[in-house]
Amino acid sequence: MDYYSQVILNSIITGGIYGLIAVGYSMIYSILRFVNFSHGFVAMMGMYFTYALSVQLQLPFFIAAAGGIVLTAFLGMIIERVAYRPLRFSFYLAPLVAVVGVAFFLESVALMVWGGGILSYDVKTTSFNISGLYITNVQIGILITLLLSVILLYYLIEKTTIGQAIRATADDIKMASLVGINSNRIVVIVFMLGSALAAVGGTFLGLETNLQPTIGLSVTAKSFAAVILGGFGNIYGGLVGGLVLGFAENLGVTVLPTVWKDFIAFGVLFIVIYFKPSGLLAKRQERGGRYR
Amino acid sequence: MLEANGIEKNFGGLKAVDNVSIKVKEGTIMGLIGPNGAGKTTFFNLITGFLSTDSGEIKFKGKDITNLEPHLISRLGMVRTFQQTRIFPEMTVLENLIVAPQDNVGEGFFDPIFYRKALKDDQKEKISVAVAILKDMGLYDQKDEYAKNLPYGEQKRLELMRAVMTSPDILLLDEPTAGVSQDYTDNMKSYIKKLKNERGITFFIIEHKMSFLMDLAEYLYVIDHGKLIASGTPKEIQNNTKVINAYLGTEG
Amino acid sequence: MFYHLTILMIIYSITCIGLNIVVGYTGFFSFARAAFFGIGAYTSALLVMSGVPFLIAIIAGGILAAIFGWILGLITVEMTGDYFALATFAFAEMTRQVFINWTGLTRGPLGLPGIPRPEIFGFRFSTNQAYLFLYIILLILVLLITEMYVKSPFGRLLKTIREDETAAQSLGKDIAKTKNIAIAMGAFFGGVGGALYAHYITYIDPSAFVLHITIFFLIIVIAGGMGNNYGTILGAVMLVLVRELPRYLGLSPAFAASLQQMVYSSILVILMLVRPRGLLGERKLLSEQSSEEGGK
Ligand SMILES: Nc1ncnc2c1ncn2[C@@H]1O[C@H](COP(=O)(O)OP(=O)(O)O)[C@@H](O)[C@H]1O
Ligand SMILES: [Mg+2]
Repeated sequence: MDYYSQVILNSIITGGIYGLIAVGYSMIYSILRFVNFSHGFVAMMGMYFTYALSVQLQLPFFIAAAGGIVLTAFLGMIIERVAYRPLRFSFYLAPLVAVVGVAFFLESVALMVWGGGILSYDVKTTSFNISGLYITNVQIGILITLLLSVILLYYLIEKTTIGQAIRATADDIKMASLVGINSNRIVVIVFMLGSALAAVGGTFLGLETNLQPTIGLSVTAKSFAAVILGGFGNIYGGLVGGLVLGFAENLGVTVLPTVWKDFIAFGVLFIVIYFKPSGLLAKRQERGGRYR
Repeated sequence: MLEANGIEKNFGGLKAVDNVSIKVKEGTIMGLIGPNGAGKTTFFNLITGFLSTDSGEIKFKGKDITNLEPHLISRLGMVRTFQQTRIFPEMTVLENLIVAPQDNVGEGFFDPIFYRKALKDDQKEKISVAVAILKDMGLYDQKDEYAKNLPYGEQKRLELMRAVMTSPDILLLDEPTAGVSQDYTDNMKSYIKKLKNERGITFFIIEHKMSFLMDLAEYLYVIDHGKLIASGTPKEIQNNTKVINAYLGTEG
Repeated sequence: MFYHLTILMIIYSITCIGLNIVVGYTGFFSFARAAFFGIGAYTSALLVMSGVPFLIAIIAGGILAAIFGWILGLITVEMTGDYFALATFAFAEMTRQVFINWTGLTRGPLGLPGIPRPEIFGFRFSTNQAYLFLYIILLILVLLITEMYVKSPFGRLLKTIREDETAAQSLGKDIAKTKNIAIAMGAFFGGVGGALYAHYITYIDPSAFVLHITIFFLIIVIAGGMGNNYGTILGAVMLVLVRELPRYLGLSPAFAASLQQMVYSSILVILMLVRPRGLLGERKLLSEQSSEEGGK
């Protein structure tokens, strides 16, 4: 029993982190129908920005993390400006290929600056035992921040004018421009917001495990999977998908030989795409929807 | 030749097509009109197999074709065009046409190996057919242009010509003149008449604007909110109060 | 160095010509390339190591890859765009997990060392010159076959799938079958490329078949020009140079590795900004001339 509560706790933490990163990704996707391949690499950069500020510049961790998040938001802005905006109306594959380039560029930058070795934040962890359940101060911090981020995001999207404009743009970008929403500005905001969320998730990942410049690809793959699981086009779909993924990973290890864990994770993904191509949360869609 | 009985289709709670029955006689031009969102395109999608029906039966040349795959229905001789034109944008005008015929040699995996000669001859023949059609429609000069570079009206005509290249028995046109200038509209009208007279192709045409079909179609069906509300000759339809109300209702 | 780079260019060209059939002509963004490359490599290596002749083994590698391609095609037949990309990616990762975990066959992460060099009718291709000669001949063969296909009505049919599947169906084309054939064909050349790679490098392990290599192949196709086989070869030449040259600059291996990655990713971004369709665009295969002939 205790064992399973522990697994559930761990699932919520990993799932929440994946979910947060995936939400940033699904925001960009739901507005632009654009597969932002660089997203996981942006999360990786956020992770290292925090490292640079906290370990290399010796700033207090919270300030460093906040700084890392802001820097990553600007990185998102630059990516939009350099690789997405000029290509928005170009050949349909051009923006995708360009962000693949950006992704590997970021990875090479991280490799050069921080090296290929494994690093970690300089944060003291103490472990608490709450009636048999082990949890660290870091994990408590992560849980609280996760919750706050989700509430803040919800408020921002649902209750503010910017959020309204974002939702309108997600529904129909052409229509939104017609009613006077500056879609260019919205796209920039979404890129920045999505990247900031990625940075939060990236920093958490760094806290939970460690820092490696090569995790970008698997983070991209996982947020992609989370978004697919949760349902494309729904901004919060990624959050649910991330949680599902977190549970699948942690529960999987309890029943299956560990070496086949990844095989089964990708197998599940494959099966989900096959049977439920529009995701778990998405409204039921007519198969012939694309025939006009 | 084409017969649909009691066709229904729901999208969630919306009855897009509600118990519609129609008959299209061979060698005629028939029309399907109705205000925007009436369910016309959905009805075409159902007949041509691009959507599956919830209930009802569709017969073509005496065969039951309900929920058959679209390419199989097309191969039986019923070919459609789309409201939002679907040309092959990154292929040349000529390629758009010669890819269409259903008896093309060389589309199977082993054909390029075993039928080299037949393939060449067949291509030559198809090209000459396509060139003839292009000259007919005054599009010959653009034959090597990418289809996407044509003005919209020309694209609509290209789509129609491409459908003709399949040698269909019946053509289903979904708003062939939507968003097209008057010149193109007239040109389209005379081309349709010519196809009917020279090749004996039957037509079933959707139009949102009534005027296009008034002197073209022999018989019209009218649907509104998914339901068949009237049918008759263009004259009869013009004076039908139900139809007038349906159109006024959506526009006013 | 010259032979080494040229041989790599040829291996990648063959692989990417196969990929171009799927991505460039049929218009599907497939992320399964590393899987087919790996299936071909392992199959051929294991067969030759158990005594099967080289030519038969590489073809077997290609065929097994094609069979997997066919099955993948059957499963993904209704998927378009992003879903297809993701499904193929999941497939590739699953395949790699099999390479890692089926240790009885593949020796897992230890890899397969000592893969024999090619031998045809008793002649062993042991020098790099002999290698280059053999691989050039194979490349020409692959190029001829593929060109024959893409220029034929079959190739044109592939393009209609890329352009507009729905329209193609409305004309009576069996899209599902054609798409499947394209994926299997692409997989076949991927498998052959993988086999040639295995017999040249003489050592393979699962890390040679990660997503990075798939992306590298995709970039070759896209940079060279999609829907143009010569563009693909040009892409392979360029990308091999960009990727391998920093290794010869006398830098530390780790730094050289990140530098090469930085250079090739920057080139990719710049290329998209300047020539989004790649260096060589698609050729208009139906010439003025042939239509004139037809017109008379
Ligand atoms: N794939 C679909 N999914 C859900 N609703 C649809 C779909 N296609 C059409 N509809 C709805 O069905 C109704 C009829 O649409 P349509 O057949 O396109 O009308 P028309 O062609 O007469 O203008 C509209 O209300 C439209 O929104
Ligand atoms: Mg319509």
